[in-house]
Amino acid sequence: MKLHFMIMAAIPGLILFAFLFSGCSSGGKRNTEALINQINDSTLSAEQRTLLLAELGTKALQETKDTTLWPDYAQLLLSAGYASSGLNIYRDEMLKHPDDKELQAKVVNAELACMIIPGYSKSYTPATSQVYYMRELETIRFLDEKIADSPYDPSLYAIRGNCFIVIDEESAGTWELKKSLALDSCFTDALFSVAVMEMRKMKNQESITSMRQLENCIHEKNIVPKRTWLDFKAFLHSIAKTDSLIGLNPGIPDYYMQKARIYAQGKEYELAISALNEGLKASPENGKIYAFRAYVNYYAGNQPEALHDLAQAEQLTGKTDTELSNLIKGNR
Amino acid sequence: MKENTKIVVDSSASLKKWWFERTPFLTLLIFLFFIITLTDFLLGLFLIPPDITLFRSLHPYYHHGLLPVKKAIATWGPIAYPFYTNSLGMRDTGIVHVPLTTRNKRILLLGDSHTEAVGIYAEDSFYGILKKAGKQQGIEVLNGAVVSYSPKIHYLKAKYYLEKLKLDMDEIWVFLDLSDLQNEIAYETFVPHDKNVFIKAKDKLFRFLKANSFTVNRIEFICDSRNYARFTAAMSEFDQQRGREYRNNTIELYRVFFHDFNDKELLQNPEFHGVGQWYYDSSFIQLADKGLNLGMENIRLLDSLCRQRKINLTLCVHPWQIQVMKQDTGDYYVRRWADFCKSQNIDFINLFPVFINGENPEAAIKKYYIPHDNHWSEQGHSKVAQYLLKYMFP
Repeated sequence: MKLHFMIMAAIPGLILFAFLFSGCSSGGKRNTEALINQINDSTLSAEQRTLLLAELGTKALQETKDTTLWPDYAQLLLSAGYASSGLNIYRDEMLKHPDDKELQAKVVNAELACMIIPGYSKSYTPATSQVYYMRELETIRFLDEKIADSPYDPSLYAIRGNCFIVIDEESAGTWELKKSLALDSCFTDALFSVAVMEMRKMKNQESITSMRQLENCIHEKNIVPKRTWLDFKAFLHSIAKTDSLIGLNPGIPDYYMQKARIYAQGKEYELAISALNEGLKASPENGKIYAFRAYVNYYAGNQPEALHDLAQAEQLTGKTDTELSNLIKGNR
Repeated sequence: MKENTKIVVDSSASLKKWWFERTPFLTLLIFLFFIITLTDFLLGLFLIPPDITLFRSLHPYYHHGLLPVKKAIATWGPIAYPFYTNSLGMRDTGIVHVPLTTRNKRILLLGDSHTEAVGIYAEDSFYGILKKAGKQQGIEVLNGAVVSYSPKIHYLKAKYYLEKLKLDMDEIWVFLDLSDLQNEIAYETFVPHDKNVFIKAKDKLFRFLKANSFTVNRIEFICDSRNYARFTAAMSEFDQQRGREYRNNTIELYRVFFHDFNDKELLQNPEFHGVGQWYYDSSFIQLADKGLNLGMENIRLLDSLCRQRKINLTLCVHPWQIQVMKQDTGDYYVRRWADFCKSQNIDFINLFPVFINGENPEAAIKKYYIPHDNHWSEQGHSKVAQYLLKYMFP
């Protein structure tokens, strides 16, 4: 009787145990779409995203019939910075679909993200931005060979540094400029590039210090200053001036507009937008700032943002700026 | 008389009884065991997912290795990739049977995770590229490398292949890097022993139960999670970002090689886990040298083993990201190994110039390494392979 009871108790006990702990083993049954959405969730921690990506990759390897999984996984890997792994998948896909133009564009983008000069087919026409990037990479490759032959020439590092900065490889660019200055602390081109970089990082005081150092070197080496250096110095001082005005009167929106105007004239659109964002914090209902931000966004190539700002400006001022409206909408 | 008859009747009745009637308690116990086992295995059938990642295992002779003839999926950070092992338990481009003897020239690669090629398809790894190139010349290239191997394990594994398996080989190429300094210290107390029939049977039974018995699977999962939590707690000061809420696949592998390491004080020291910095930290330089000396002693043993069998030994050193950033192709680590190889008359290949050659170090790291990792990307593997081809198949 006792044993009978034990059997009756043990089996439901085991089933209960299974239910309690089955969660630990059913992780693989997550819906793919939900998984992708989860990976794209911006609030996700990097570690969690890493593990979910691994789960998606495992799924893609297991479920070979689902052809959409691989490109999705590749795209997500690329977004997470694993360009080489993403590229590998795209290249495999390319073998299956050699005429897919969209896929070819993705391969080229992934190759550029890996800093590889793409070897695309003749039928593919790369976008302007891709051509621009490729040119810089070709220059970098050429300079790599030059530097291997002449490792103590500061000018080569300074030129290569500028190429890296152009393609938004800031840390690589910084390394080059530092290397150039380590070889020659008065290498003017490198000093100027450092000043520009610091300005772009909104470290205006450091930028001014670098420009002062550049001036000292100009005197020391008795060289003729370049026009761009003088223009940049004037630009930098104008920014510094508006900065001090903003510091004294942070609530006046015109100063932010003034700062943004200087940046926009120097074609530093991102910084101009940033100054206007600050202005909107000080004066949130300011239609003029919205209108100017629409203008800057338009020139920065941010068409949807430009349209949004234009609409906001019109709503807040109750007027239509025909010229601005035509400019933005005409290029839609 | 009456009494006697009764006794006879009783005895014939007891003879006719079934065994389970005579031993009801034992019968019910067996029945209970049978029912529970059946339920357990049925639950296992439905609730245990097929473990596609089960291809690594501990080994009594060479600490840890890969299971033979496996088709699996490996993960390294966010990267999932197919993983195949051949009949010798080596990573391969497919499930391949490797004969122990061969008439062809055979080269065995030994190394750690770089040579195993974590995060990379075998075909894209430097091993895969060398294997393909070797095939065209009738040379067989085998990859005996596994994550967290170091000179001691290279020696033990080569000894195992040569003495226990009697595997034919003509050359051994060993790939070393900074991680060996730490690994050698962790393996210092490891004593190899033979895998007898009972251990083999026990291992097989455990693997079978883990894959099929729900209870064993869950208990193992809970124990393993506890061990993982204990390990990550020990090294949490070093890596505060990882290993807390989620089980990290790279740390899971990292902890394997601490299996026989009992120095808790060292394990809890954050600097201990940052082996890349040991040479630049005055308090760790002695430990770095200890690791290096242990490694050299084991390579000396491997060299002696190779010389006895007329096998040519080549040693290659390759850089971590931090060494690429330092831009020194002949740093202390390289010099020590180069001098050692010169003194022992061992062929030496310095792979530092593959990554330090005039290229921008930040760009080189971005191109040739997996992000935030010391392991090579597909481009890195390809570059290493191109460099090695001229030495391996001149």
